[in-house]
Amino acid sequence: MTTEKIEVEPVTRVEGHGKVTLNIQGGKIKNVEVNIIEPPRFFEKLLEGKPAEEAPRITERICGVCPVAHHLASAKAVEAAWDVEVPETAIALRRLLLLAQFINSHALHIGFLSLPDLLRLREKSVFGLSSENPKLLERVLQVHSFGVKLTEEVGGRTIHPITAVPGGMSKPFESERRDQLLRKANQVLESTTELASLMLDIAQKGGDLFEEIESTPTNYMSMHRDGIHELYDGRIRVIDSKGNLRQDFDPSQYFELIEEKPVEHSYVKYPYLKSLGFPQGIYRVGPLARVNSASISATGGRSYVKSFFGLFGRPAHHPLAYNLARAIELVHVAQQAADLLADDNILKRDVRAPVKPKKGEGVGVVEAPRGTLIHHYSTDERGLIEKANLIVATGQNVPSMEKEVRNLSLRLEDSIVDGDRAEAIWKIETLIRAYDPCISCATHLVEIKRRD
Amino acid sequence: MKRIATVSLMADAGCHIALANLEEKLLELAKNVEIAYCQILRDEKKIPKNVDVALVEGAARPGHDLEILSAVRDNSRALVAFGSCACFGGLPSLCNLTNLNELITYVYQQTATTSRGPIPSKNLPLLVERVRPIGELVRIDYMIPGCIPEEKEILGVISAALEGVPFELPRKSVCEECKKERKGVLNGEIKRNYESPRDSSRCLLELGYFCVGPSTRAGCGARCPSFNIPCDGCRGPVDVKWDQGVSMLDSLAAVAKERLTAFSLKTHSAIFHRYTFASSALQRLISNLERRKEEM
Amino acid sequence: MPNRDEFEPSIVAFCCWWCAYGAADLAGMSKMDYPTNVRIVRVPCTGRVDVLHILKAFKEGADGVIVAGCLKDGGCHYVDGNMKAERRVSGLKRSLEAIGLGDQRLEMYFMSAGMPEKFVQSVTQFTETIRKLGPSPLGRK
Repeated sequence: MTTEKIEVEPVTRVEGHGKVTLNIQGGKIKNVEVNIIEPPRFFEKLLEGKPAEEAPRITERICGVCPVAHHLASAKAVEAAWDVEVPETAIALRRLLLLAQFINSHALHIGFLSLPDLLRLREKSVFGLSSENPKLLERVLQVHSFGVKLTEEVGGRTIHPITAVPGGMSKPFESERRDQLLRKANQVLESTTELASLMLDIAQKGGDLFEEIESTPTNYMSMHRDGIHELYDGRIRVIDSKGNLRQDFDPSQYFELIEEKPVEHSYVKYPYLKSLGFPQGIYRVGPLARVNSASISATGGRSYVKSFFGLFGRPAHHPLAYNLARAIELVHVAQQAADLLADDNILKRDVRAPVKPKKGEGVGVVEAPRGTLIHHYSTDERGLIEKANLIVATGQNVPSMEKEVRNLSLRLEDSIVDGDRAEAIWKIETLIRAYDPCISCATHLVEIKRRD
Repeated sequence: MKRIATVSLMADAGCHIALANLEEKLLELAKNVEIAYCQILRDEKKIPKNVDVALVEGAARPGHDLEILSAVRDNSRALVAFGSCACFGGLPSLCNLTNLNELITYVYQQTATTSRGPIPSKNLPLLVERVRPIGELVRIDYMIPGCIPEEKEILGVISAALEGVPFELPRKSVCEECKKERKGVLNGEIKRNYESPRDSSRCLLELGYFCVGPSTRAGCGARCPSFNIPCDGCRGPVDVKWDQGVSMLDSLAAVAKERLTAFSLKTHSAIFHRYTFASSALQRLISNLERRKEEM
Repeated sequence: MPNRDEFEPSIVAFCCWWCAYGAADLAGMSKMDYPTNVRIVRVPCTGRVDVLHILKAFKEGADGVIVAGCLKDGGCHYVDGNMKAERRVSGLKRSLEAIGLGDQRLEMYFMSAGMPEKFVQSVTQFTETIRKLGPSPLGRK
C-alpha cells in the first residue's frame, strides 16, 4: 500500500505562510490539513508589562498588511480600559484611516492576488496582469495608490501608522492634504465600480472553478450599526446559515460568547460560538460575512448587492463569493472615504482628549479587511498592561477554509493522485486565496515531497 | 537577465507590502530583472539557484529559518537584510526577554531555597527559542533598516546590490532631520507618551518624552515627531556598533531628575530597545547565561 | 568550574579618581587590609561609567561590580557625576535581576578621599556577599 504525503508549501499569493498537507494511501486521499500558525500568541505575552499607550504601535506589527486595524482596535481597547472619551473629529479621522486601509488592502488583493487566477493569466501575478491587461492594472494601481496615500496622510505613515493615540489622534488633519486627496477621489470611485463589474462578470460566467468548489453553509459574524455595514464602532451580529439573526451583542461581551477548541494538527485553536457548540458554532468573518449580515447603505456598492445574492443565494456561502463581496465592499468604502473627505468637520482642531492611566480592563473591536478583530487588555494602576488577549480575523475562518479544502481535494482526488496534480493544487490554492488569509508563520524549503 | 528573490522569515510581511507599494516602480524593475521568487506575488515554490540579489525580511528563529536562510545564502550572490527584523531582530525579539523571565520564574518556583543565588542548571531543559538578526546566522552583504524601510532605500539597495557596489546608509541621527525646535535644555522630567505635548513645535525629548531619536538612524525625515509622536527607534542605531537602547537609557539616566528604577526591563525594553533587543548588550548577556546553563 | 568552598570572587570596582580611589590609596598606605579580589578601574568620575562598561565587566566574568564615587550632596568634583552614576546603577540593578544575574551583584558606594575605612568596609562587605551568592551564572572566560 503506497502512502504519499503531499505538502503544498508555501501557499503562494497569500499574506504570510501556510501549507496544505494531503495524505494519500492506496490511491485515496485519507487526510487533508490546512496548517497555519496563529500570529498573536507571543504578542499577547510580549505585551505584558508594556505601557498601554504604546500598544497601538506595538500590536500593529502583528501584520504588515492590515496594521491600521490593529492600531485602531488597540487604541480603542486602551480607551475602554481607561474610560476615555474620544473627540468626534478624532473618531471621524479614525474612520477615514480604517477606510483607507480597506481601500489599499482590498485593491491589493483584487489586483495582485486574486485576478491573476480568476482571469487565468499565463503568468499568474501582478506582472502577468501588467503584460496581459495593463489598462486593468492601471485601474487597480490607481485605487491602491489612493488607499496608500490616504493612509499616509491620516495615519502618518504608509505602513504601521502612528497617529491614533489613547484619547484621539496626535495631530489635526490639514486642509491642503485633504484637498489633494479629494481631487483624486472621483476617478478612484470610477475605478472601483469597474473592478466590481469585472468581478461580477467573472462570477456570472462561472466555470469549473466555481462548480467544483462546494459551498459550506456557516454562521456569519460582523460588526453593524443598526443593521448597517459598519467597520469602526458598533455592535456585533451573528446570523446563521439561513440568514436568521442568532446573536447581537456589545463587543465587550465577546469573550463570554466565543470559545476556542484546540485541534491536534493545527497550531491555531478553532473559534466557535459557545451557544451552538462545535462544529455547529463555526462562523466566518470578512467581506462575505459583512455583506451577508449587514446591509450596504446607499452607495455605489448597493447596486451590486442584488446581483450578488441572485448569483450565490442569500446568505451567500460559496467561498469564491468572497472575491465579489470584497469588490463590492471596495466600492462602498471608497464612496464613504470620499464623503468623509468632503466633510469639513474632519478639519476641526479638537482631536485629542487628555487621558489618565488607571487599573482597568477594556475591549477594542474593529472590522479589519479580513474580518472582526479584537483586542482585550487589562492594565494595572500605572497603566502597564497586565494581560492581553487578541483574536485576529483569519483564525476565525480557518475551520471553514479547511473543510472546503478537504471537500475540494476529494472532488479532485483523481487529478491529485494520478492526473494533473498541478492544476488541482492551483484550484485548492485559489480557494484559499479567496479568503484573503492574513497568516504569519515560518516558511520552509519548498517542494512537493513524495514519500513512497 | 539578473535575478532577484525575496524571502520572508519570522515577519509580518510589512516589508513585502512596502515592495508591493512601489507599484509602477516595481513593475519597471520587473522589466529589467527577473523576480525569480517572491511568495506573496508569484507562484514559485522553491528557492531558486543563481540568484543575484536576495532580499530577506524577518528575524530568524533557530531551526527551520536557518534552513531557508542557508539555502538563500548558498544560492545568492548578494544577500540583503531587509528591514529591522532581519537587521536587528525587530520588535518580536522583545519576546526573547519574556521567555527567559518565564523560565526564571519556573526556576525560582522549583527550588526550595531562597530566590537569590546562582541559577540552577542541571534539570532545566532550555525552552527558549530565541529570535535573532539574520546576520548572526549567515553572512549578509547589505542591510536596510526600518520598520518599514524607506522607498528610496529599497530601490537604492536593490540597484547597488545588482551592480555589486556599496550602499551607504545615513550616519546621522533622526534629530538632524527633525523640524522641532530645540532650546538645548532638558527639563529632567520624564513624561509618558499618553500625555499630550503642550507645545507641539518643541522637541519632544526636551519636553520630557521618551523620544529615542538621538540614538536612531536618520533617513525617515523624522516623520513620527512631525506628527507629534516620539521616535520609537524603528530604524535601529545610528551605527551598527552602537547599542541603541543602552546608550539612550544611559543618557536619560544622566539627565532624569528622578531615578529610572520605576520601570522593569520588560517595560523599558519596549521603549529603548523596541526593534533592536536581539542585538543589544543585554541580549548578549542573556545568551551567554543560556549557553552556560546548557554547558553545565 | 570552581567548587563553592574554594570560590574566590572576582570583583571589578570602578573608582573615581577624586574620592574613592583616594580612599583606596589611603587605605593601602595605612596598611588597612581589604580583599585582594577587587580589581580597581580608575575613572575621572563615576559619571563616566557607562552602563555598557558594567555589562562588559559581567560579560568578561566579573562575579560582582562596584561603582564607588564621591559623597552625595555636593561631594562630587564634577558637581553631579555621582548622582548620574547612582541613577544608572539603580536602573541597571533591576535589569540585571530581570535577566537572571540578580540585583545584588552590582552596588554603588559613596565616600570621600579621607574615608579609607569606608572603602575597606564597602569592598569587604561586598566581597562577602558575592562569596555567599556564588560565582556569576555567566562563568569565567
